[in-house]
Amino acid sequence: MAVVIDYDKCTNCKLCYDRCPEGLFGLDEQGKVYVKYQHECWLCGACQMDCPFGAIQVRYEENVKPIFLKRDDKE
Amino acid sequence: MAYQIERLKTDVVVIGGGLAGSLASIRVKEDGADVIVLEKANTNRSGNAGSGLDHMFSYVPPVHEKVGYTKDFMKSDMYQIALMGLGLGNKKIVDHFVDVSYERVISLEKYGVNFRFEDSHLAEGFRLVPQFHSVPTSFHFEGRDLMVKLTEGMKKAGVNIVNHAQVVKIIKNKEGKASGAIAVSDREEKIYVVEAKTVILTTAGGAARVGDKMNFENPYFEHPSSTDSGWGHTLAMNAGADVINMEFMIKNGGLAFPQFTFTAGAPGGTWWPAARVVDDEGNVIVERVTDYSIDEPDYLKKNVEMLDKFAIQKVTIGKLLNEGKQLYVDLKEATDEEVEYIKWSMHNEGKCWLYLRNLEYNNIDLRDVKIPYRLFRHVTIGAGAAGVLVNERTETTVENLYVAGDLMGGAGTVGAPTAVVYGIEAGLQAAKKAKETTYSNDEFFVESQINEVKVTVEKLRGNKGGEKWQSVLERVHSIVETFGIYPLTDGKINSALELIRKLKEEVNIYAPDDHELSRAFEVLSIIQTAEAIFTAADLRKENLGPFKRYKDNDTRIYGERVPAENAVLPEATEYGLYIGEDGTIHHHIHKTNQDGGEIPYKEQTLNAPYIRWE
Repeated sequence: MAVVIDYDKCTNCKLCYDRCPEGLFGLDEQGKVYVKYQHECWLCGACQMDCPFGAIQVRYEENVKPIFLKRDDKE
Repeated sequence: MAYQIERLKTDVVVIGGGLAGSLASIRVKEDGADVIVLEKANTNRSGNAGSGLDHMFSYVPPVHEKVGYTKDFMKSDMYQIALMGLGLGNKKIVDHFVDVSYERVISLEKYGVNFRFEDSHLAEGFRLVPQFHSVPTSFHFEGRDLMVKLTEGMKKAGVNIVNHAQVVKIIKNKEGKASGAIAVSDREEKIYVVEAKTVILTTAGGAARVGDKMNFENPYFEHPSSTDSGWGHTLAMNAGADVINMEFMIKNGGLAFPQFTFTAGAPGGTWWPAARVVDDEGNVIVERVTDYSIDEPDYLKKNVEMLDKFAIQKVTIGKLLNEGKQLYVDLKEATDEEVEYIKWSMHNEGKCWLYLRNLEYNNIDLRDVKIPYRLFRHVTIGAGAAGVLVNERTETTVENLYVAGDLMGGAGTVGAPTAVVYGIEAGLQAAKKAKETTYSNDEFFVESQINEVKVTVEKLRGNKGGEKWQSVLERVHSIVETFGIYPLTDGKINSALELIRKLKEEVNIYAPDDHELSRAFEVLSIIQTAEAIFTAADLRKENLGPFKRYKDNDTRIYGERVPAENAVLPEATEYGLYIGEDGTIHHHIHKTNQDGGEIPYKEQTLNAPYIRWE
């Protein structure tokens, strides 16, 4: 999963919903923001940059090729 | 399905609220005209500059003059790069760019973007970074929140911003002049109809989504940035404006594009000069580059040497990757100071910011990792001089329609500096024209155009038996990936066109919600862009020149660089495509580089015979 919302920090201000260049966030039946179209994310990072509460992380698959290889894995 | 129509009226309507569009709109207000910006998402993070920029080139008089790098030198340098070097560009666009680039780029300081640093040893406190295309140096600046700041600037200037409004049609009046835009909301069932005296189109210029995973940005998600859907090309074509050099939107993918490291690639770019390129066995393929400073007296000589060296290194990397070797960017030898500088730069440059954050999650230092290159064997996209035919006043072949930014055709290089310089130009020109123009729409004529959009929207939303947009996109990709591989041949081009036209007839998408409606429109645009690309390739036929021939890893650009005083722009033919009143593709022949920017209008339409390249 690329975009992860930490609901302990999220205040449902909907800034991410408004700003995502790809319109990937949706509102559920209770009006709560969630990542509706996870696979259309191209990792621009805007939601994480602008979240006033630090509630969003956009994560690459951890230490997986082809993003980067830890040197000690190879040497 | 009950789509509501919201009618708006203004002097100038701007399509796209990215770097070019925001600056255009502010300029319109400054010149005393009213303006509405229609932005498909949100101007705060819109377009290719949306998540930040750390560098942007211009002529920089206080620094360049001292080392003997003149404006004329820069112009002739720019004539030689990419498609300009083939004669597929407009000299006047480059000349005007160089002449006004400094004042316009540095005007971003007005919005609180920082270009000056206390630790700088250069004139004016600038930081400049060596660059390996078009110009020797770029400003290095703090541009992460550039679009946030420009959005504040737009609001202060009184620009009317309409976010979440994806323009699907440019309105034309009875005289065939552009006179507004129709947009669809991705948030509610609403269609915006904006009538205007003049129209500025500033959507992005890429078309990476025409092919599968042709985008270096995102190797494992299904979706490159939607700015790369060829959206602006089809909006312009459908309004009857010429797009040129579309065949060059697909190019050979033989070069090495390291994903995520592309914008910070080595050699060159953000890692420079701290990175080496190494292989799996630890052999150093490219050593660290020797640093030199822009204010050294023999700077020009050093820069040319570096450029030549860089070209050879690039070819070497390409060859090794082609042979199946795995190569890595390696920062092992970087000093603390260098790593800090690189991190400052990455913090400001687009997706590099996210790369840094991910290194942090994993508690990894830049020197602890090796960053693998990836080879693109398939086609990839080079927008370059492909785009809407414009002159240096950003006028197009359709009256009252102006185009600026990445979408400009014949501009030589596109990117942030072009967006800034010509965004402002488009605002200036469109405001001036709007003052001489009156509203000219015939209500009945406008209604029929609104209705056309409404019918398409309702069909897509109500078509429950239809395909998902993703599966239609897959069909486009399989055509392009099969027949778009270099070198192109008549056979491949004909097969591609036949299949694309069949797909166009059969296409039957279902959009279950507003978001997917916007995706469905994108897919329709992607199909049309693919058709335009292969049609242009078909037109060029036997006179394809370097377009058709596999040039060994593209050494031409650097390898045949001639001294500035000898640089001439060769004569070449450009095929302009547009959609005629009958709904089919028509074409013109242009030689914009020769007559210097005069736009050939419809009466000069030629039924293009195939002209030999040489």
